[in-house]
Amino acid sequence: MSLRARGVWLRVAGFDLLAAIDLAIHPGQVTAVVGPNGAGKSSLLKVLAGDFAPSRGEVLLEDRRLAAWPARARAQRLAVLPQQQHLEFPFTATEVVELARLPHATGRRRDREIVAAALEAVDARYLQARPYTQMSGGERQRVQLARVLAQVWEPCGEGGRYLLLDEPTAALDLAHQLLALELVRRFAAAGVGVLLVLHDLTLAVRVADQLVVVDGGRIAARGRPETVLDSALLAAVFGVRGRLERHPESGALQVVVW
Amino acid sequence: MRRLAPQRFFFLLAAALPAAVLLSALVGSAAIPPAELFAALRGGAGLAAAIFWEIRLPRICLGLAVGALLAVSGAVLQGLFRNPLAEPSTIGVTAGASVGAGLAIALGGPALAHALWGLPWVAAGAFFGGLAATLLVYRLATAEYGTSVAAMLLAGIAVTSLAGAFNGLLSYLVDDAALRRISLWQLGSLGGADWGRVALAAAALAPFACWWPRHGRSLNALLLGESEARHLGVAVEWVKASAVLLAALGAGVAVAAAGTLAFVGLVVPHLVRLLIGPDHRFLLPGAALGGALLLVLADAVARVVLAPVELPVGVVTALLGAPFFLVLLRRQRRSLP
Repeated sequence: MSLRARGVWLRVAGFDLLAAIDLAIHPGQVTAVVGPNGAGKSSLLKVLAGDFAPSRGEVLLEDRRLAAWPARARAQRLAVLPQQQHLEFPFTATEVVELARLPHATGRRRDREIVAAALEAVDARYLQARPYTQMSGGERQRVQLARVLAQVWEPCGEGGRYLLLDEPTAALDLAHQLLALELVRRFAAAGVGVLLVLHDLTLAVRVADQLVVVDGGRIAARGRPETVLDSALLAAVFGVRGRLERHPESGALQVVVW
Repeated sequence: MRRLAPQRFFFLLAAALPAAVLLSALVGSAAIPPAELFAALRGGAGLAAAIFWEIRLPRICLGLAVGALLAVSGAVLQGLFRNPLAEPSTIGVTAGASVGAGLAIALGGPALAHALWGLPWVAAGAFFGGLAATLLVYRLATAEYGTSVAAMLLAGIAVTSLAGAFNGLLSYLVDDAALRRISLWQLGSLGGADWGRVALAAAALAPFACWWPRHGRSLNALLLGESEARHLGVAVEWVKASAVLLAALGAGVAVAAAGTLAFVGLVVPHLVRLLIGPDHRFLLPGAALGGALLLVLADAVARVVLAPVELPVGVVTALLGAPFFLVLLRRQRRSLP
């Protein structure tokens, strides 16, 4: 079971936004994609999500081409959180998260339980009845996160579940960033395959089983975070001097730059 | 503001609508006293009965149907454009429809006046005019991430003035009889009501009634964005195409049956959204009933305010709607970055 990009190229207006991408996401595993601005992180996520069709190569969900999946069956196992969210209508948080149950036929009662649990999970229960248009950026992001979590909340038939998150922590405060990563780990532990694009290397190191470093549309390095992120890579890809260190008291890994 | 439960809202509308119809039946340049109205309803003859059955009742029914059409078209357009400021008249759909109607009249020639197929012919012209305008503005205003309000309104202005120029040109080319008929479309009025128009407008409501139970939720998902809706399993292309067709149908038939009535499609969905929230499963039928109520009341006002002279109801809806639109525009500007 996997969501897999095989030999994917993405050429837009004469530029190769992605080149020779081979990448697999497996249930139970967290893959973090990092890289400098414009490296192709979001393009990679969008190709895996089916938003962009690859110019060459293919994207396979459970060994079947992504585009060949019926829309609803695909939505039952693959949820996507894009980077930008525009919603100009005063839906309440509950109504936004309820949209996630659209592809499912689990019944109104079960849906309601899932929606409430998802809002609780992202610490947004107090937003239940508040219009989306009156929420802060971080609140909106948490509600949207709850929405995609509710979409793959429980297994649906055969096959795995997959979550693609484009910078899910960008607008969140520190405590909620950690909460979001904890949720990602929890979903992975429950058998969801997660790919997330992150800017913050320390957060990426903390959450990822597999770290994928993208640079110039290509995968520059991949593997376990503690082996991938060395001083040479930080210099070559990110242009900074630094290294990965273990915090003396907590034992947590962090990227230190100077 | 706290929302009303949808059931409660529909109950209130169900009570208000007959009251508005009754009120509208009583007032006008020739007022019908209640006693004579009841006599007419029980089959009595006489002047009051004739006025009621032949003039007032078709007019009320046309107001109900056209008001419902305009409001529900507005609600669908707002969902499609993902913007609460979209409306048949602000984005040029009404103007496109009026050009289509004008062209149909000009091409139809003098045979049109009495022919049975005259009205459907004009309605078809208005539909295609409205469809062309909707598609043009939609292509110009929507991008991958949401709709640009500025592009949408500017495209609407351009289409509207292009349509105005075209209508001006038409008015020089056609003969006097056609010119009179064309100028009727430009001033929205329910004065020309007859049962043919009522039937046409009511028939145009049927596709909406079939569409909303199945696609109300899809339209909700579409408000998140196109790719988001796709990720939720919605058949986005189909929903979009059918929404464009429905909006053009609603606006086109409304124009063919009653001329251009601005802002009903803006004010009504907005008020309904304020009362019961933006869920299209309730918003679409709510807007239809609310639009029917508003237009019947506005027409009653148009008949009494300068009695015995009658004001075109389009003037009343524009006087009501334009300030409302400005307030909304101001509020949305403040909430945008």
